[in-house]
Amino acid sequence: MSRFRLPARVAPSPAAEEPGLQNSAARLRSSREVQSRILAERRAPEAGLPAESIKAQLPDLPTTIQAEAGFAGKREGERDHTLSPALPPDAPAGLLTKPRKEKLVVLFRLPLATERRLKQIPGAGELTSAYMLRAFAKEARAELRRLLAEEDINAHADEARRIFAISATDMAVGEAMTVYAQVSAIRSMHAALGDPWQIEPRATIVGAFLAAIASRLIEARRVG
Amino acid sequence: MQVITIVQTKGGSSKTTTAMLLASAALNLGRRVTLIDGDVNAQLGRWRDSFELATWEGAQKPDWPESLTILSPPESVEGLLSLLEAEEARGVDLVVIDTRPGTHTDTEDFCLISDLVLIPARPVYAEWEMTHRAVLWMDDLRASIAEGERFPAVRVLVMDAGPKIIDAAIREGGMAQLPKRDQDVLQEILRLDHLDVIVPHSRILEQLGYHGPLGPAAHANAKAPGGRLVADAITRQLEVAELVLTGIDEVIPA
Repeated sequence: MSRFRLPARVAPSPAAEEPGLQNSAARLRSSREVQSRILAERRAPEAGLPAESIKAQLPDLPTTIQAEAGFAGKREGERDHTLSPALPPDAPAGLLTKPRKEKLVVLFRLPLATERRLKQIPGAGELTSAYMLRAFAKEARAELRRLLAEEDINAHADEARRIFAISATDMAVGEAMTVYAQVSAIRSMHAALGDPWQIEPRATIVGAFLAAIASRLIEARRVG
Repeated sequence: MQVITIVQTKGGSSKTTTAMLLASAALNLGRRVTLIDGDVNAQLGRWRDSFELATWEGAQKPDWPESLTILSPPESVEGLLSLLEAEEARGVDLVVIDTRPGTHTDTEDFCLISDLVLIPARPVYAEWEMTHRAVLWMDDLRASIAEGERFPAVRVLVMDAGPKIIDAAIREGGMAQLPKRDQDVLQEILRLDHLDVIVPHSRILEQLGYHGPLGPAAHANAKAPGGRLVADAITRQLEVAELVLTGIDEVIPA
């Protein structure tokens, strides 16, 4: 028999599962794990810890890949955040990794009543409302990114709850925008809007808080 | 007969250049070589055309080596297996298969019938992730075949490296001269199974289509008036290529 033959397969071809893709999500995640390891190792000496102790605390790559297999069939970001990033509970805050942020695309919407208040802001006559909405959306996005835990969320919870209940026809629709929010903050946002099991779309929940923050900013700038 | 498949998920990552270098080195050692161009660009398939169309000034262009054949890939796996048997029967020592970028099942077939999968890696921040991904792809491929079946050796080859990268890799304290992100890239690549040769960046690498196989090109330039410098540069590149081939021979004996 010729030595040239294809070996027997016991699993589907990896390429058949992702034909032609150069950036398959699974491999991209794995590569990100390596990047995280590099960052953690780099931060170790700065924090006065030996690199070995940091490595020991981090999941090694094969283990992580095995963990990834458990998320088969889920979209990226749908994983249970309690499983990853596998840091010990007593790890010094901010030492190994920054707080994890989620990237979301949300549709920026404001209640029509709030949009009307834009005209009462000093200097509003020189600007279009679309421009002002964008400006407040960006400011609100920066604020949203800083929210960390329940106390931060509570400040906006009432307004978010009100906006969450408003019908879509009573909302002005702005642009779709990319926002970042801390994982812990997203969890608190779901809880604050009566969705502790997180069954509502994250973008809807976070979008309500984005609108709530923007409303508060508009209210603060409004005359009278 | 050694069968080597060159794989990288990224385009423009020196796959074809690696194939040309290996062919040059093997020819210089008196081996018979067949190149199979599985890339959609067919740059390797047109190597002979590029060489014959190039206008050499001063030096007398040598003939294309008889012991170097370039083929298109057969339509089917059975055709590929028959082709390899035919090449082995006619005394070919080395078959190098160039592949297209991305992850494709045809590339996997090339890999699975090979003795060695070579992953060229340019030590550049923008590209190292692709190298890592190619290695993971091969890991996935290994996991998809039955236990006890033969799987090719997989090695990374650092290609097209600048002088600072080479210093960092081979000289004590050289690493400190590199920017932090380049250090990370190099360390990560060298953590993977790799050949112990780094192919330096050179103009000759960029002009392989023009020069053709390096041995005859060096010989022809050495005889031409004023061609000594070019001949030296080609010879140095050829020496590196031979070191790469020596490294390969250690993994898969010729």
